[in-house]
Amino acid sequence: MVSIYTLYVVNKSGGLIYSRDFTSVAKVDLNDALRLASIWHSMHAISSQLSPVPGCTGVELLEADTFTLHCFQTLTGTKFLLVVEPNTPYVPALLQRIYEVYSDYVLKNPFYEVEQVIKCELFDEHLELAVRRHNV
Amino acid sequence: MLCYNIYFYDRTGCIFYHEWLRPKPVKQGAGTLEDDQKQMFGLCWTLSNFCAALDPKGTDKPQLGAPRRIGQGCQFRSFTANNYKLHFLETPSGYKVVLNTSQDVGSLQETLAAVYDELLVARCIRSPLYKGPGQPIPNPEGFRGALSQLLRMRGVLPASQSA
Amino acid sequence: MHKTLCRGYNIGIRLIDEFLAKSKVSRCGSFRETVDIIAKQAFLMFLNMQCTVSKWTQDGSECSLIFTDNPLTEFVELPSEFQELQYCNILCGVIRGALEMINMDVDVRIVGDMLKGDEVHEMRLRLKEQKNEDFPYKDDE
Repeated sequence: MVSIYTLYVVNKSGGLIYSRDFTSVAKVDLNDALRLASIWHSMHAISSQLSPVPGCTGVELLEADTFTLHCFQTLTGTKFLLVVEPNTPYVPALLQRIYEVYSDYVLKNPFYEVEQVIKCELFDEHLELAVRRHNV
Repeated sequence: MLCYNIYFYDRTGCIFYHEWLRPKPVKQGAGTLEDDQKQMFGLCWTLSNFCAALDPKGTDKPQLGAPRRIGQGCQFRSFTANNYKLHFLETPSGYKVVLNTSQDVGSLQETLAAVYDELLVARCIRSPLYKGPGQPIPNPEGFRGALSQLLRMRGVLPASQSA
Repeated sequence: MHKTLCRGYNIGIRLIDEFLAKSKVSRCGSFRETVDIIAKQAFLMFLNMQCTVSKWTQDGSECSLIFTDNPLTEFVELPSEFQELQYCNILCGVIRGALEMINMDVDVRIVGDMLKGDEVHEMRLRLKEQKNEDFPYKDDE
């Protein structure tokens, strides 16, 4: 039973720097994914502006009929969007783990330039591992 | 749990707005109430398109940027930020209800469905004073009273908050 | 006749929401699905009537709604030919108004009338256009 669908990583300017599907179900093509990332970015800002309460730091959870989207924002403004099956448990823990993997294999990679597209095999591998462990 | 504000829209725009509690004034947000209502509509519009395009079960899901048809594909239901939760209902006839509460609230889909059925349909759409889309809700004071009462009965508007 | 049609239309644009609220239908599917729902659920809910759908065209844009009872006729005292025609026309207006609210532009005509000697009451529905939602504000973001 696969409950984790897709991961998107969005940089602080709203650019999509990574996307990965973990299932074979309806994928989003790259062009749409790029637009989704920038839409999310501006939507994040508008939702804070329209908040009836001061101190809004943005959307953390989006619920729709057939999926739930969890958003984890780092202090540096990078956002990890994880699209999962509704009612999937332990997603915040998985996101935390993904952030650790990102920090270990992307940020510490000497060839990686921050805010750029992520192309790190070690990141891919450890990400896959983290998700598989979660699905078990 | 706290209940902040509510917006009712038809296809043409906002037909009713009420706030019970709004610690962050509109001036610090969108600026004017009118802009606030427009932006809220736009936000929900965008999120509805977003959800339809992201739908993992979608067999005929629309491409981003394709024209909108309500009810096609996955529907946006709610989002939760760090300090509020927005609940959304949209009917195929173009009516929308947006309710903002504190973030510690579960799903209010049933409550929104009751708001649609017992308030919007019963007190507005069926009213002989209501002329159809593009018109404001007749007797807004009575509507507001009934709305607060319904939300109180459903435990959404706490007794500590005034109607 | 024109006034009757308008009255039907005005009823239709409101009736749709009563139907949606009570039946909890939230998807707006194809024209075919929609007509099925009208025939099987809506007619039953509002008129306590059975209605069948048939005579679909190849492209699925046109069909007939067929029924033999019409409870509306029981409570009216006008001469039967007159009131039958009027009420069926109201139904046409209602359906047209209701479907317009869910973005379907349809043409509804009566093609069979039992009081004129036809075997069944028949309404022909034709989908002219399926519209999209328009963003209502001029300067959208």
